[in-house]
Amino acid sequence: MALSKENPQRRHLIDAKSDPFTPLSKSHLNEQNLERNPLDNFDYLTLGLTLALVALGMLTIYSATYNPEVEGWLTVFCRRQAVWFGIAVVAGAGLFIFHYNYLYQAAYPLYGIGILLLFAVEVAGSNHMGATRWLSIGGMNVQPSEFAKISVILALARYLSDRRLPPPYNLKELLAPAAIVALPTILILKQPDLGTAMLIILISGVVIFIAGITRGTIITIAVTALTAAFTGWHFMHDYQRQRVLTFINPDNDPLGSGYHIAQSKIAIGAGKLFGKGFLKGTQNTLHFLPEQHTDFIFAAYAEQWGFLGSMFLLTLYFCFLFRALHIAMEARDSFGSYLASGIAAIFFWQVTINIGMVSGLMPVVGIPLPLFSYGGTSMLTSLVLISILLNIHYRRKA
Amino acid sequence: MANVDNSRKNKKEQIAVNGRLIMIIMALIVTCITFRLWYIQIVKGDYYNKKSQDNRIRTRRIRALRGIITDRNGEILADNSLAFNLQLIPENIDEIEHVARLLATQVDDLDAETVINIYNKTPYSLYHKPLTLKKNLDPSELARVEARKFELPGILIETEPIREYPYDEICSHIIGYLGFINDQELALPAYLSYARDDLVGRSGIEARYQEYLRGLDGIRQVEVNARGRELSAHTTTPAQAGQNLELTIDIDLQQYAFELLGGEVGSLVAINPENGEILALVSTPSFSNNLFATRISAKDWQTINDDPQHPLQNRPIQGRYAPGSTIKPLIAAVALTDQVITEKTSFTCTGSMTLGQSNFRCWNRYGHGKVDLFRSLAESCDVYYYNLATRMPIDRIAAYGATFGLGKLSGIELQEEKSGLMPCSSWKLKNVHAQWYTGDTISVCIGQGYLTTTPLQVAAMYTVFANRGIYYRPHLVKRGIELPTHSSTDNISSAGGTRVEISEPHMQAIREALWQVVNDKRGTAYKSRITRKGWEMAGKTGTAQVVKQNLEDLKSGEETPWRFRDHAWFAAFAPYNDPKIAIAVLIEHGGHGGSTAAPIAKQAIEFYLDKIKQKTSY
Repeated sequence: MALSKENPQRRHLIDAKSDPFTPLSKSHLNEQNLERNPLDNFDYLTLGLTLALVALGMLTIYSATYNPEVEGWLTVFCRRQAVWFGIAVVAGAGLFIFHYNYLYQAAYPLYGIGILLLFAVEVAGSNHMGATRWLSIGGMNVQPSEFAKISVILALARYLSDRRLPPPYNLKELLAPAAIVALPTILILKQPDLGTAMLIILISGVVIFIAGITRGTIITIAVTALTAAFTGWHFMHDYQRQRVLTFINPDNDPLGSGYHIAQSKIAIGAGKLFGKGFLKGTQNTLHFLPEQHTDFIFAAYAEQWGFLGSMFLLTLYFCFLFRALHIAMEARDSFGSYLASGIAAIFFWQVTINIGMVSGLMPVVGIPLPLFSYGGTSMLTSLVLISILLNIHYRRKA
Repeated sequence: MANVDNSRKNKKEQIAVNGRLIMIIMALIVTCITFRLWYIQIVKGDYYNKKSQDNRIRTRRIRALRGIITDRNGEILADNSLAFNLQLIPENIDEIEHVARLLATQVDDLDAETVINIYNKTPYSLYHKPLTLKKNLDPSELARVEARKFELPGILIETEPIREYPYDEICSHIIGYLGFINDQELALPAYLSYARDDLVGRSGIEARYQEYLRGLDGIRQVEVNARGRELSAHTTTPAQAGQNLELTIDIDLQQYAFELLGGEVGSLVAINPENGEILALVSTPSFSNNLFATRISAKDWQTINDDPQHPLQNRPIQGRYAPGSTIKPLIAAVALTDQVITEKTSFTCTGSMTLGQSNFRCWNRYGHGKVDLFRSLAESCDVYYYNLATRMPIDRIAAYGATFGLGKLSGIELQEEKSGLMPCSSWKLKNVHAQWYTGDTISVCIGQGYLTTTPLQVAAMYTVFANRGIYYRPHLVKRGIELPTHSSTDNISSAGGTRVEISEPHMQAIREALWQVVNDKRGTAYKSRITRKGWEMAGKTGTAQVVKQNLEDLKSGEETPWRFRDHAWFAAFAPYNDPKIAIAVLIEHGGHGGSTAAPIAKQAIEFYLDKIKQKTSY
């Protein structure tokens, strides 16, 4: 009977006792169930942090797109972002009703769809600024690499939770998970989207690390990664190399490719301790910032709210990430743990890479600040991921 | 079993241990970011703050001059001149009160309170942007402001090219006018290269040739300091002026014709029958397109827009009128070609004709007696054409009409053009949901009923009679200019023209009849004949009914209220033997074509022939 908890065939048998959304049979309608508030298990902290981040993001999008000369200009971005938030909340809430073990069952099919979509981009994708990343489905532009990110985590979580061998794993045992990660990564690299490819490797790394690997394996991977970095340089596109080069010394070319980083550093720095105040950022309002409402939104925020504001934002993200890892450690099964840690990793790396990029620590790769940047896809993915987190937390008790 | 249990336990342990490790790594990385931000914002905060104040690069636009539009002789119809605008840069103002009071004494229609208000309302973030206080200063204001320049810091005179139309209302319907681009347009991909505050052609040639005339704005990147002062120019891309455009219009004829029409509501179209070049395209009443060159005032717009005679309407290409008797030469030509009649066929006019239960009247209620082709045109007998109508299918007429340019857009380079209607049986079935009756053909054959034409179409139709059978697409822009393709009508070959299917002898018969209209004593336009030898005019009068009139009313024609009076038509060409000009005149509610429209056409033709004669004799 001990098997039942880890037996994949029985996964879909959902424990109705702890799940108020599952229709209860008569036998379950005992006093205990009726007394307990079904939302006691809900993670209000994560929800609160999410809402705080989204609200702060909207405020910054407003300030970044605000144009006192033209009325209506600001509302376009704010309104669209609000609409996407609404759609994302509905999607997240809908997903929450179902036990996350459905995701376990859907993990491989979803992974398959993800790979197919990436192939479709290869064949029929639309080209935008020298890279083919978008797929037009029924008039809507979809970025399959965004979907691939999630499906890789799902497949990885399922594979690792299915493994009978006790961790830590050695190199040979990691071959299969490595293949799961490598396939979409190579397809995304071909688009070429170096940023997302890198992101998928980093996120998977965290999941595998949490699952447990032997020390020897870590050393081997580190050595291989370094070699790969040099090889990767060889295969980079010129514009990507240029980005890396100007990152090393952006002052060389302040009006050319280093312009973005130089200007966003000026914006962040000009905020000093207290910031210039709401709507008073000159870098922002004078349009010196590139993509000030999407990838570079942190610079617009930091210019207005200063170091204190930046610290406040970082604290919000940090609390959120800790909470997510906490959920991973408390999950009722290993699938939930791996999935939650994968989600934590997605947020962690996106925040790190985005702020690192904007503050001149990392090369410019187009990765938005989750929950903060303007953009429907990013908002939808983020809230769906948070919904899964809440789901895992909510059903943590076996 | 033990193995699985062991695996589960192991997994949990690993997660607990490694999860903590990841937390520590995350904390470390977040600390790194914190240090980075601390370094940028606290340690180097002053440095970056100064940079944000000092090192601003602004992009300024250098406006391109719009292409110049000239007539066929190089006379300028649309030009550019400089406007001097009074501007204020808030951040350079030290004492707004003082500046405002001083300005108010130097510039008309500008009071100090307004200036102070504008200044106070400007948000700080826009302090670097110049605000326009008054556009288009007159020279004396300009001199006064320039003289007190040093007492007015933060006040600046900006020069801006504005459009100027020397002939103003005389050809404003052709040239059109400009207007500011609006937000909806800016969102369209076609306007990608436009910016707010750009002027674009709103009608006429200005609109149709917008891309051709506009030129390419230049860009100047300047480094400015925190106070918005230019420190140095970075890069400059000079503006490229738009291309010039030469029209086929003869502005002297256009002006003369405009004056001839005077206070009438009407149109005059003159076309060179040798190639389809439009010499004059007059629409009255007109409006001043110069009013649109700077932002048109609400009052001016209201006046133009509320005028009951719609001066904005371009009547020669937008007005759809029943052609009246001017259609008769076409009907006769079709009848000859289809062998319904010969030149000698005659019918007897008793003043009316009965078909079924309806009685169709001739304009001459006493009847014309025995009428042949020549008399039918010269005296404009209606009954003759009723007889043709009963013998011809409408679809034949429609097919020939189309080759003369009826019922379709001529393709003139004005996007406002409307097509008029050349009805046929299938059209009626589709739009009126009724069968075509002979009675309908009868109406069409005297230029009434469903048939409508624009004055341009009538003029173009008479170029075909003038040049003995070739339809040239009427056009306004001299050839040899690469046309930006706009619509399919551009594809019509205009250089070659198309030959209509009327044989030479038949064409000659019609031309002779048209000669009689003007030069025979019984002709309806005899009073307007040109007596000068070699300049004889041939043409046709027309009277288009506005409302159905009873026979009794005809007597009291003069007492009919203006708006119910008939439209007067006259279409002609001259000289008869070697036509240089074909013309169509329409006077709304002008009564009879022979008395109101024909004299105008005569004078315009004489003026033009005189002009080209002088030119060639030099």
